[in-house]
Amino acid sequence: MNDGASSHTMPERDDFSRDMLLRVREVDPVADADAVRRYAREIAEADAMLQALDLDPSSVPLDVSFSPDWNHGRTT
Amino acid sequence: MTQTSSDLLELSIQELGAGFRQKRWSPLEVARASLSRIEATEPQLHAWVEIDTDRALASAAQAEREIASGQDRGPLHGVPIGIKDIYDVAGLPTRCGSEARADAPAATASAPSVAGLQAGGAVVLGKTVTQEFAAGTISPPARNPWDPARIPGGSSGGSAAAVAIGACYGAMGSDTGGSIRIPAAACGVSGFKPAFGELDVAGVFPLSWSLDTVGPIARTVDDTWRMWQVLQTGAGLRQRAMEDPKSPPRIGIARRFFFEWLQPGVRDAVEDAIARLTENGMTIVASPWPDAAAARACAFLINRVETASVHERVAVEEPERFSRYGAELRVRIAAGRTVPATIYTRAMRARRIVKDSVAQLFDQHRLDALLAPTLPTTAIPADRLVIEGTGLDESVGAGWTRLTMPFNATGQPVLALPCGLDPLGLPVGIQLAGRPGDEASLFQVARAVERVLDFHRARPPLLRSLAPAEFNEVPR
Repeated sequence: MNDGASSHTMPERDDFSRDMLLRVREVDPVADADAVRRYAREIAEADAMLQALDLDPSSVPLDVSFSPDWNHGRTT
Repeated sequence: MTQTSSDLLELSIQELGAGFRQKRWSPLEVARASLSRIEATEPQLHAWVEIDTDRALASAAQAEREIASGQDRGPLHGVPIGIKDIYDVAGLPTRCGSEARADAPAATASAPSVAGLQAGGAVVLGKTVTQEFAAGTISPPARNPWDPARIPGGSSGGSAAAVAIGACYGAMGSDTGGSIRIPAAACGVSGFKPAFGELDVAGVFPLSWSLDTVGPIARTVDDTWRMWQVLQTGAGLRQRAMEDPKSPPRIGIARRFFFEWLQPGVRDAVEDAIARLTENGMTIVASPWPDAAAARACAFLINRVETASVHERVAVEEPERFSRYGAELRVRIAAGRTVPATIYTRAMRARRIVKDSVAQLFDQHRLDALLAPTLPTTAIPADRLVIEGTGLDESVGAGWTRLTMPFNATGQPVLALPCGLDPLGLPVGIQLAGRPGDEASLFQVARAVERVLDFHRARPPLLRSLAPAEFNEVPR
């Protein structure tokens, strides 16, 4: 996910990545730190892209059920 | 004219079935031809994890008796197929390509989708190679029939490689982020991702339950359609006939996102395909989809969190077993556990927005389908797993799902088919996304596109190098 702008600042991302690495090592003590950092960056970039959408509850329901049917639960 | 085993393996599913019914060849002859092709190509392709020879021959013999007695189970009666090794097949272990499941017991029942194919008379030859737990696009140790030094794509890589080399007429794959379409594109065959929820995924090891779909891979659109028909019948779904379109299809192109960061050879082949479709009367409509990148982000986030959830118990409670997972998957699971719930719920809610926006796109432009390249590159070397030539620095996993994942978020049906070759002689694929609930129309468009592009008869060069014994006359 390298093509998205991110709303996370670098220090926030670093914290996210450091915290993730600590928790990853709880179940995978030999986890590659670079791989975890890459994973954290991809998650942050993808989430930043979704934060740019209008997800106000008045336009998008809070429930997370999904149907591929185009007539089901239109948000607009 | 003398019929060789290789001639039989070149037939379409329709031609094969017609010959069975006319007693020109038999299911046993064809099953033996398939098994011979597997034996001849496995040393290079490694597409299968288990060949179930005895049961396959017994199933073929049963089909032979039934057809001889006038019983007709439909288009797959007596047709050899492969099943990706994340599906339960009664009598065989489901190892999911993982050392952690090396000791898996034989399944006691087949997944409903497999049972439907078997009820339709399909002859299951065995299990095909999958990327570990269907989480990735490499599918080791399987290789690509167009160049065995390259990967077949994944995660249904064994299925696509087996179909491309003619070892079977169709194979089942699964598609959570593109795992049917990606190997179909890399191996030059067709693959169909049904709409989310259309087919029962029970008995298939989950990757991400909000995105998982199961579907067929076959050499042509028509063969894929016949497998889809049998899967529909097995699932008790209402079938629609695939007729020729009454008017030339209207096909949308979203250049922003889908035509960015492609290898030049891929771009040229897809642009050439679009030009030929236009020359042949199809209407190509510029159809910008501003939410394509957001759709990909939705699918990516949902996929990562749910994959971690599926494997969390093993990660936490069975450390020895977890240590037998591949290193990359261990990180994906261990890191996925740490993703905040707010990120997951945001992705699930945003999914509605991207689904609605693609629905509006189809309505606004009166589209029959949206066309996009399936992969940004052609098959990459197995000993150099990097994306090159696109201008974007990304991993193979990210790059090879970049163009497929948006449609896992929208949940709509998508059909992948080959459109040409790059300068290295490797297949380039396109995908056609359609309207949910109207799969027959999507197949109609795809068949019309396939006729124009006329690539579906191309075969991997590896076939020409097979030992002459493989071309022996079929014993009568």
